[in-house]
Amino acid sequence: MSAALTASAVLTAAEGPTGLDKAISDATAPVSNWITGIVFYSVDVGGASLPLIVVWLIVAAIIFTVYFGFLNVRGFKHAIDLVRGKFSNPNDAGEVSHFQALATAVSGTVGLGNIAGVAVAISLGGPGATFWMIIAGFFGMSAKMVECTLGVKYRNERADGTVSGGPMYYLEKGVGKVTGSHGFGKTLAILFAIFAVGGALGGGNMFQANQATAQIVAVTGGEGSFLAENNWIIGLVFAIAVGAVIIGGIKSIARVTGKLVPAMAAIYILSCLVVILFNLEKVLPAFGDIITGAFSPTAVAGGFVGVLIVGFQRAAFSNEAGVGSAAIAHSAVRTKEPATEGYVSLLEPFIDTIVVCTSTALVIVISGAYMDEAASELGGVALTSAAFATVIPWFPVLLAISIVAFAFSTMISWSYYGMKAVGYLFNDSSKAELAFKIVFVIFVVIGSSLSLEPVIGFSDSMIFLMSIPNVIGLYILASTVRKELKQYQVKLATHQIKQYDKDGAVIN
Amino acid sequence: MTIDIVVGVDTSEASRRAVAWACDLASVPRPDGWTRRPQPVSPDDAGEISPEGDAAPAPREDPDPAARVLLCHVIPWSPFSFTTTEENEKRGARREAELTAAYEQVIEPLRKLASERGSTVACTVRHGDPADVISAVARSTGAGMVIVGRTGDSSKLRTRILGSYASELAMHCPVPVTVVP
Repeated sequence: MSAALTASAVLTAAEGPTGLDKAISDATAPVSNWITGIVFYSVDVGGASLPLIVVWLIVAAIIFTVYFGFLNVRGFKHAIDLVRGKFSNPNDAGEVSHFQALATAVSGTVGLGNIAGVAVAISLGGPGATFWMIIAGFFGMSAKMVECTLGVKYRNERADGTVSGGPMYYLEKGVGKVTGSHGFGKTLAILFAIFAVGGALGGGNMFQANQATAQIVAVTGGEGSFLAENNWIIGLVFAIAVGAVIIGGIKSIARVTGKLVPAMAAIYILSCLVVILFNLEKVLPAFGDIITGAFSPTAVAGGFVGVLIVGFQRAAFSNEAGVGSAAIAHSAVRTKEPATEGYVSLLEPFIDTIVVCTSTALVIVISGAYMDEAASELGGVALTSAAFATVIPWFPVLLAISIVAFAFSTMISWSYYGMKAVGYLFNDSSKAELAFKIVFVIFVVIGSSLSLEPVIGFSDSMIFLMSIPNVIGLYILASTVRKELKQYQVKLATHQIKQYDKDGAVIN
Repeated sequence: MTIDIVVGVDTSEASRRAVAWACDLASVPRPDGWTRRPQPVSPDDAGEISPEGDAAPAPREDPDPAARVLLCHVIPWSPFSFTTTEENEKRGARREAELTAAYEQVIEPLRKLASERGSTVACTVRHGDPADVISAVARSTGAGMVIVGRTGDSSKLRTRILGSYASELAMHCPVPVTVVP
């Protein structure tokens, strides 16, 4: 997603807000700063500050990778086969496919984190940070697999054919069953749902609105222009568009974004390839920089450990493995075997962190833009933009359009996650869900008006808080997932899981 | 059930003519020239049209042992299209509604038409790519012929850009295809 990118360095929203913008800012900033201080409690490691919450996520991801015997590598081919529909029963045609569940979840996570987050990592940690991002993405695949298997296994299927799934349900039902204490499971579930509402309003909404606004201001005249002084106007336009979709039920807008985002992502990757092809001779040295920089960085606070932290942190922010949000999106798939969706979800951090982030990183390293003092100070989106502009001069305009599309689709995805959490807390009460939607729309305006720092602080905090009850649940349910995977692998080996050819005939 | 003819249908006028043509053909004894699919239908293949326990909700259909004609309506759908989270959540319910509507609006009028002509027909409604699904159904039932209307419900624009389902079917179908004008 995106949420959370960058502390210092994304585009800076217009400085010194005035009038209405300032009033909104002053009222909310202290609360945000207080929450941030608690969630991002850091310890000092060899001169670098290490937020414990990052340790929490990365350790979980490594433990799951080892516990499941590197299934993220062994299961990769099977995951691709599932997405291609090789194991899809033709009689299920018309239900949500593995591809669709994956694509929906990916469009919720691919976004500003992949564009701006990487730039932040490289400007803070040098090229070597990329290496640690890739490593973190690699381990994150396992955490994602665990949560998405559980999301399907414990989802609620209602009589009318609609489904609801996600951490709320596996924490309540799964943890309740395994620990024998329904109250404990329920507590974790309620905590998760509350944080998810916060995450939806923060990283899934304010942060997106804020960044999109900043980018619009940047391309329409920058600081001192009318829009820069009155961010709330852009916020209002966004709010109306979001409200039209989530309250007004205007599906066409959501559908357009749903198609625009994959197209934008494809264009983005293609652009990266173009830059890389134009500089083919610099690709190997760039990889060299990335690898040497990972182990013996120069001029980075905290040295080796410092780079490692920067890389891990950005990867965790970008792919959300362990946060639990993806489990909500993945649980709608039509399958009798929860393990299948676990396999498929492996691909999500792979696409998000390993493919997209690495492409961005290569472009930035190849272009050398990060070494240019001025660009490096810009950081975030502006750095990525400058790197592309070295080869494709009109790229910043395309980037601005992509950012607005990514931000919008992430807002829509997260409004859904938040609504599901509210639905869980209030027993699917449509009144509560409507109230949430109204609050969500109001927060779009607030997000556009605030200056960047309090927005990022609040956004990151809420999203990372979600990982606390979620990862506790994942540890408790790890053996359940192992059993689930075991029985699936046995069925697969004995051909009880059928493979179909394109005519729908069984071929094994 | 011995299906000789699969008719791909939708709500178009041409579909009615295709069904009428199929019924007329089926009312006479099978001509000698018809080559049915050479290899016997394996139980697994048959499983596609009459699914066994493992498969989730069966495609709704109406097998009639006496029928020699199968009406097949395909709701255009692709597993590789992009959807929203909200659409995904409601997809199961929506699919049921689509199947019910297809039975009421597409299949029933055509079944009536067939019975007016003295034929009993079997029916199936599926999701997927129309040309692919009709080909697959022809293969798995062992039918000797597929009949479709020339112009279906597709918009003119779609036909212009992508070609009609009838021509696509004619290119890929494993058995002879009759296109009724």
